[in-house]
Amino acid sequence: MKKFLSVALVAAMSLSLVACGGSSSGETEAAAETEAAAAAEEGGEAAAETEAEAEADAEKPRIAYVVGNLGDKSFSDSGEAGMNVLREEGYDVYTVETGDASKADKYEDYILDVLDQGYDYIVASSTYMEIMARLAEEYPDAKFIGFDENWSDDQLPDNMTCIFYAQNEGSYLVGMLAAAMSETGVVGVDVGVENPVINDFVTGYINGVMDWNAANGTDVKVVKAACGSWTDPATMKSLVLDQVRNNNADVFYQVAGGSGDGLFEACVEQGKWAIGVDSDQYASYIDSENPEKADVILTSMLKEVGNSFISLFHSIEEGDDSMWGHTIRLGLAEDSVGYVDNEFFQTNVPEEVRTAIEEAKTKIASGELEVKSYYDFADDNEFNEYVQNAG
Amino acid sequence: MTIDWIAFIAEGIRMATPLVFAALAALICNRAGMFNMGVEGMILCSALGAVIFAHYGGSVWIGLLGGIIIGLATGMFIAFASLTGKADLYLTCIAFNLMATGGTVFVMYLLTGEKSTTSGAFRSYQIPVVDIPIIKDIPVLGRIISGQSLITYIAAAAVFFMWFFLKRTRIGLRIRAVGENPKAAESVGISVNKIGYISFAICGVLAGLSGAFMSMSWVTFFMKNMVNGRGYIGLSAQNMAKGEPVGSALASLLFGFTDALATTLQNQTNFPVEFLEMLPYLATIFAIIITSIIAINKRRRIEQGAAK
Repeated sequence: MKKFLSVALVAAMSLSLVACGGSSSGETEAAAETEAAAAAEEGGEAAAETEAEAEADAEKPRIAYVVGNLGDKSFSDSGEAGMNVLREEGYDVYTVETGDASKADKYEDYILDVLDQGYDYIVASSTYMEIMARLAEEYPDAKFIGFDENWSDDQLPDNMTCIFYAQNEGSYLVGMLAAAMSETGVVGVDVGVENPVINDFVTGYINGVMDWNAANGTDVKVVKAACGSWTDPATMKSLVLDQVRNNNADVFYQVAGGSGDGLFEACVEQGKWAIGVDSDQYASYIDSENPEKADVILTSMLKEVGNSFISLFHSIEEGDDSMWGHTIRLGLAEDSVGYVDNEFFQTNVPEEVRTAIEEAKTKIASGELEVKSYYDFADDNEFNEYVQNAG
Repeated sequence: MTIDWIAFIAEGIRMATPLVFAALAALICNRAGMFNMGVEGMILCSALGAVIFAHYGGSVWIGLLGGIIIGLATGMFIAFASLTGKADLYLTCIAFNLMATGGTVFVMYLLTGEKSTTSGAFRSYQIPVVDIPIIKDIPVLGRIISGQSLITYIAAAAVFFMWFFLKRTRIGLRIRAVGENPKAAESVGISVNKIGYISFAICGVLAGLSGAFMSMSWVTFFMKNMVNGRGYIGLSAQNMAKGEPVGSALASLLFGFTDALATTLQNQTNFPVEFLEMLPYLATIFAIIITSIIAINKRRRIEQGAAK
């Protein structure tokens, strides 16, 4: 009996690891490759075969995409979609899922693993920047691509680049929209966990609301809150209900990952407008089991992570090497951020508002209009003051 | 700044509901002499179980039943490991919580192909909100007491039943006897294992209700890690009240209200978010200090009385 139990417990423990870890097919492939390599060392025909394969692969670089968890319907999935396009083009892309922050002690091991398997390019989000910068010096032949982070060039090793998305520009546009659509004169922005990138979303949004006020003589206020987690929709829902009740807010912008689902639900309950983030969240709900959730999502601020990977690897393939050691900034001008302009948006948003947003988009893209960024603030106090002044 | 304090109280009660169940679930095991840390994982599993049953059964009631069944099953699983298998209860519970975190995502992925939430793949069901006739027309009280989720009323009833069960029934007495001195209880012919299983069964049903509230009332979908430590808070709530049902419920309400207060303060004031997030836990520490001071004073008085 005890034996059975210990087996059961071990099984239970290993289940907890299932949620993270690489996709199983990828792991088997990797294992097969290692075996092949081992066989190759022993000589014989196998060696010739492996070499031939390696040569075939050499034409397209091998990419390892390191993410926390797929299935977030936004950030990581958008990156994976881009990687799928690259896969179709013949790139050997291996996606590694490392799990949430409780598995942070394993992050470095995961990256070391793919490096040892000989992947040429490591693509990973801001979470892994420090680890990558350290490994970049140990592995000078590999190339490291961090995304969604804003490092200055002197922080970056020569074999590393960093993709930064101008989320403030996209948020500016939905901020204008929120201000225009608000009937009560208060709009909300609700985030998961505060960090520089998230604060950049907030800064752009507030800037958009303020500029709409200045242009139209309105006095729309912004209320901001954080629910403290990316996976706590319950707290998020309560936050939004409180903002409806006590702040009288009626348009809500979610920058909260999974917790954002709680915001949509509160909006459905209260009949308020919501604005999605990262990917087209209207599209992800309209064909789902709960289409009523789509009916509150006016638009979504887009952050085209996947597209940025595709264009980056295309320019690498063309022989461009100017990105190494620098941060690449992608904004409206590069079509890397934006908003969803679908039928639902067109039906529900008055034409003059749509035109105004479209005009602002053109102006920002051309550089005529500059959107305030979190990175412009000297410190957090200045940012907090900015948020408070908007409320 | 105009805060709707009546709605605030109603919200505090809503936020306390899963905590009350979690506290009662931990309490019954505690009274039987078992410190059940697995409540957190049991709630998480039940939350997922509820949405799965509701989706495939096509009814909110099947979902509620499903949540309870899964809660019961997980309770039996831990009981089997620790009572029949004689595995260390703490280790079993830690392993179980880890398993629940990964296992729920795994099951969700098998059924829906999603790794984060069932909000798109499963139809949402909500346990009905009850408007109590007459009471709902009473000015202030009506807005607080009426219009809560059905499960919230079940929570209030559960507190009373737990008190009655422990104090006034034969089996309740046996549970307390086993909890206080298992060897003595065994010597008078009480089966410690049987009592343990019964406690875990009750614990499972309560955890199931807590999970169903999370995924079919507060919000109407399952999301990975959506319990976010509420099971542990329930555990400390019953600890604070030294295993008394009414006290545990009051402690849970205290946590519910600090949670609601953190929410409201965040929207109405400029307090740093980190400070507000800290509030419920700060309240825990203070509450534990206060309760232990009271306990120490009480003991000292008894000792002084004995010395006379």
